[in-house]
Amino acid sequence: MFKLLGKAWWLTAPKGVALALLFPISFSMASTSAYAAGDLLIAPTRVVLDGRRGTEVILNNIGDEEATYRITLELRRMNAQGRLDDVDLEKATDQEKSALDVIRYAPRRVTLPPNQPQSIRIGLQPNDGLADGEYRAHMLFRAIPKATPVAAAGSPTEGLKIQITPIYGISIPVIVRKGNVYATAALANVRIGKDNEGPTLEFDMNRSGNRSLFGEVHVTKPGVSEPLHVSKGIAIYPEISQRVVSIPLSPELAAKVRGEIVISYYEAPEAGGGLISQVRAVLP
Amino acid sequence: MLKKTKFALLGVVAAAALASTGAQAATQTASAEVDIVAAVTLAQNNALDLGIVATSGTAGTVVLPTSSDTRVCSTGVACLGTALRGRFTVSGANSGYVVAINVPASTTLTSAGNNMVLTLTPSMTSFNSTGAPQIFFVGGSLAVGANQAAGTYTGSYNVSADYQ
Repeated sequence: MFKLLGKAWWLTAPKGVALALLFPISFSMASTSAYAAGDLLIAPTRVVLDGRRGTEVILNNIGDEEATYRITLELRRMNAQGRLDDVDLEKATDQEKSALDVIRYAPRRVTLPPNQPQSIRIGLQPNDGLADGEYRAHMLFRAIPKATPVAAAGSPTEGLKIQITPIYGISIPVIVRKGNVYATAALANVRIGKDNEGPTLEFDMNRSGNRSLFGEVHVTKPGVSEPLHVSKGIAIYPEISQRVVSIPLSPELAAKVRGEIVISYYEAPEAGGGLISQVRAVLP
Repeated sequence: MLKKTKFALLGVVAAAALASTGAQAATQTASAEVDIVAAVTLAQNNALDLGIVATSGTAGTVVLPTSSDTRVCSTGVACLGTALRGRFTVSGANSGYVVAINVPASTTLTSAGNNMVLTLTPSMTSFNSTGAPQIFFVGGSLAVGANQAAGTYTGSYNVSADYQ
């Protein structure tokens, strides 16, 4: 049942229902602020292709004007802090280039009136020659900004004016798994760290195998079932064997994590929710 | 945990639909699927605007912090008009999800062959979603040359909300 993750679900559910459901979500947020041209909604936020069947991602124009969106595949590499860095095509590895070759999708450019959803179909090229393993690209959905005329009347005679157009969007991973793929992880070195916003709870996540892991980190007290904290959507990708996971500590949470804690890494619920790894630590 | 999320979403669906009980029941059956295909939205609330800058024979910088809309203008430049940080809202991210914010380190602005470099700073590089809309800001620091030519400088920058 949970294997349905963003994949078979689109094929089994009646499409009308799927699209209708995207509206209430945008409805509920309409009160928070006005919408600009180019605002967008994407669902789901992660795609895994491990068979011959393709899938779909929904792009919805939640702006108040017609907008044109461009859909591209980008290469990103996870760094030791768990952030995804851009990769220039010239510096891409063969593995990364293979991902761009094997993932096909359409349409790549779409103009939508407000509140008009569009499905982007994603599938695989025939890939019999491809070695077993995991291949990944990040699908980036961006609105193409409308050309704004340089306001001649507003142009200062002295001094200068700056007109900056943001090109903003959402990226989601598209993961292709072929053949025999496996991975496991171990957690270690639990410590208190610090980032720009304050203290953090940090630990190392070590991965082995030829695929990524994706799931939830739960911080619990021994013998207490309700977690102190849950971070979802935590991935470690095959290009790295170790990353740091850093959890911001509010003053309240900082006080609670003192003493003995257990950190557990579970698979995502839709992938079964099994325990991948666990570590106990005592924090000062 | 999963169940709770489903019911929270259900409330939204029911409230927005304002449908009859029968119709709601039909919606409920399907809404369980919404949790599986989590949606996310990104909206721009304010465009980054550094206002108007008067130049002089001395080079200077205009800094727009991520914490307020008040520019800090060094000697050599005078700031006129008002400025705004870039303001974005990420909504619909499932509670507990970690979302990264990606903004390039800098971008080049041009006007009739003249250039200026704008360094960009996001107010956060990632956040742990609480399920509520998350606002983030983009500020910057503009390097203005000595006797920088007047005019309207244009450029663009990329912002993305990245899922792992």
